Amino acid sequence: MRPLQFFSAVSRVVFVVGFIILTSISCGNTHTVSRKVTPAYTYGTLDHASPYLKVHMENGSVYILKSWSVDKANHLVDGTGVLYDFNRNPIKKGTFSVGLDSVAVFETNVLHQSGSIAALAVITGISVSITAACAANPKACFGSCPTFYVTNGRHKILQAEGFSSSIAPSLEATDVDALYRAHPKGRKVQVEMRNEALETHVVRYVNLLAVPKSKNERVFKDAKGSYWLSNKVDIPDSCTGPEGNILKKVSSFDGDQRFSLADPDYLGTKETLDLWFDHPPAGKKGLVIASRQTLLSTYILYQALAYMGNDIGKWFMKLSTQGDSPEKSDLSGMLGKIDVLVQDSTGQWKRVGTAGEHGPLASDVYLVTLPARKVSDPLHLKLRMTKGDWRIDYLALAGLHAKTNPITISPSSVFKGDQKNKQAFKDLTDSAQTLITYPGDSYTLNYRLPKSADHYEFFLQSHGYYLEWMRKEWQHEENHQKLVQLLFSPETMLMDLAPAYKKVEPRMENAFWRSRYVRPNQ
Amino acid sequence: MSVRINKLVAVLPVLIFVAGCATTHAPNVWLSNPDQLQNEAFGGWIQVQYSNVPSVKKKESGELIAVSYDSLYVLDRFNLVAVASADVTKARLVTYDAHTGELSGWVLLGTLSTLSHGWYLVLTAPLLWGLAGSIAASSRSHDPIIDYPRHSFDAFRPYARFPQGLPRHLNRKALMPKEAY
Repeated sequence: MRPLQFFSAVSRVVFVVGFIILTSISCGNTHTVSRKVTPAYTYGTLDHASPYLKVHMENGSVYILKSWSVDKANHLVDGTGVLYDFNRNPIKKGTFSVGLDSVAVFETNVLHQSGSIAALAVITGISVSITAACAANPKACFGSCPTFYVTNGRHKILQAEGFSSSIAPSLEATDVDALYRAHPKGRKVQVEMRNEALETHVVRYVNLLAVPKSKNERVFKDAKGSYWLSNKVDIPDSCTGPEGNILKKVSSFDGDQRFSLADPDYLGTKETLDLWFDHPPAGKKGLVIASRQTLLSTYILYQALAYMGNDIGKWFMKLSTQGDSPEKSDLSGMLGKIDVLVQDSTGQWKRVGTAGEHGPLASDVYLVTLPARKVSDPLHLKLRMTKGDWRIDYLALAGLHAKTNPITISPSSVFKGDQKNKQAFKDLTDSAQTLITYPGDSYTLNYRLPKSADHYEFFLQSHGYYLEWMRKEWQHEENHQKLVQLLFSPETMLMDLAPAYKKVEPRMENAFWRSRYVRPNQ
Repeated sequence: MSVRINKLVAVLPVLIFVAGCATTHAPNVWLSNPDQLQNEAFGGWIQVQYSNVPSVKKKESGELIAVSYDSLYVLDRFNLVAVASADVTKARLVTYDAHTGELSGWVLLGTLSTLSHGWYLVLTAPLLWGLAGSIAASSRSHDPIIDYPRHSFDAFRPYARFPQGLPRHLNRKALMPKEAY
């Protein structure tokens, strides 16, 4: 049985059996009983909340009276009901007046809602709400590509996500992510690789790139794959967005990110940020951008997968053989990356580079090298991007004084849990093999450095691809016409999808992080 | 998620629940629902462990008929048995049916339903159902239970068939067990 059929079958069984159980329990069985036995002479303290009064007689018989009352003046208990003998066989039915002096004890029973059942009801309510939320907004219950955790000197934090765009075998690719906040000690670097999504990850290798540097230097990688040494990194003197001053948000790599919400009418609407550097360094320089995506692109990607429906395999085959994919379609271009613009001599703003890669999990650090300038006047730059598509964590201008090269280091050992895993090690170090991981899998990759860690800047080079698991909730959205439109003529679709996305957008980031056991680290 | 973890996620709450669940040995359908307790007049189901000879443990179970100052009266399938209170080492009185079986089904199904939670499952299966759900369900299973020596026999008395004590002229041999027995 395929997983989806299994889940579907499980859902039906859960629903039917759950209905029977809840019906059975809820039929008056959700209470506790507070029983009180009162001697006849203290009839004044009887609990009138009890719908029935049991009048126990000295001989063992009992009256069970409904609509009962105490006639204090005549020392009688009145009510309608049944008289039972000591074996609880009914003797007489009707209206009774029982003399208090012949009564042994009274018994009252009051039902209360069981606190435990109430708690279970609340738990069920929460659980059903989550089910409903996931059914209503299945694209918020997703994950994304392999995640990598490395210590920041205190604890392991999410530092990178690997090959986010490689959503099919034909898109197998190498990804290099900066481990900008990694601060391992000594000569050993530990990288924890996790599969935290409903995906199958096929990992060919994960290498550590260690770039030699001095203590005061940092290393940045540009879009061409060149590594640049920098000993001067300045935050902007001023930075504004459509909402006003955003300098505080972008002046440190701390997880406090600047982002905006998508346009309510057209998801492809662009916005611009302005940044000024009053004293740019002389010589070669580049803009450093630390950012990650919001969930807009992921939402649209998942919408594309939903439109593929049950034919997802055929579509991927078709798109792959034609050299296209959702990631390479016009759609991808329409949402775009972060464009860096500078003014040319005529005052026109021109794009000099782009930054950003797919993935909503880990902020990556990019370097966009800037054209040489003859003057050292204040530098004004613009960033143009799709509104609501990017979270900018850090912006800085880096003076670049030399190119350098990294040392590529393969894992020296691989652990799964506490156990050394020779097969995983072989899979990750033999380029003909791949390590296949499933949701919940976690591997620790150990690397040995030639010198102690403070002599290097670190990058992570991962290679592979991953396969999204088709979600049951998506299947009913299958629509090939819309898919083609979304991929190759997306403008209209970005308008059509806007209302649906805007409905879930405010809750999406929160729901996304809560749906995993990772958190965006500060 | 590996198959092993999947199984664990499904089974763990039930294990926690079962581990914390109060067990009773009342015959099937003998116990009444809480609402039925209001308009019927039988005693609760009691299991007594007692010892009137050193190193010899005895057990008695059945309907609690009466509690006197020195004895518990238990009606088993055939006889009314008087057990001296002083000899009782342990006793458990179950006053109504808490539907423990259905509750474990509830917790199991709740856990299975987290399959629809996407990655919320990682939290909802172990925490919401595994821990909170099982604790609540297990707590419910204890709602109708009164244990000795945790409680004195005074707490048992209201749930006897004759809360006033054994009637003085009762023909003990004529005493019949509850029909559902």
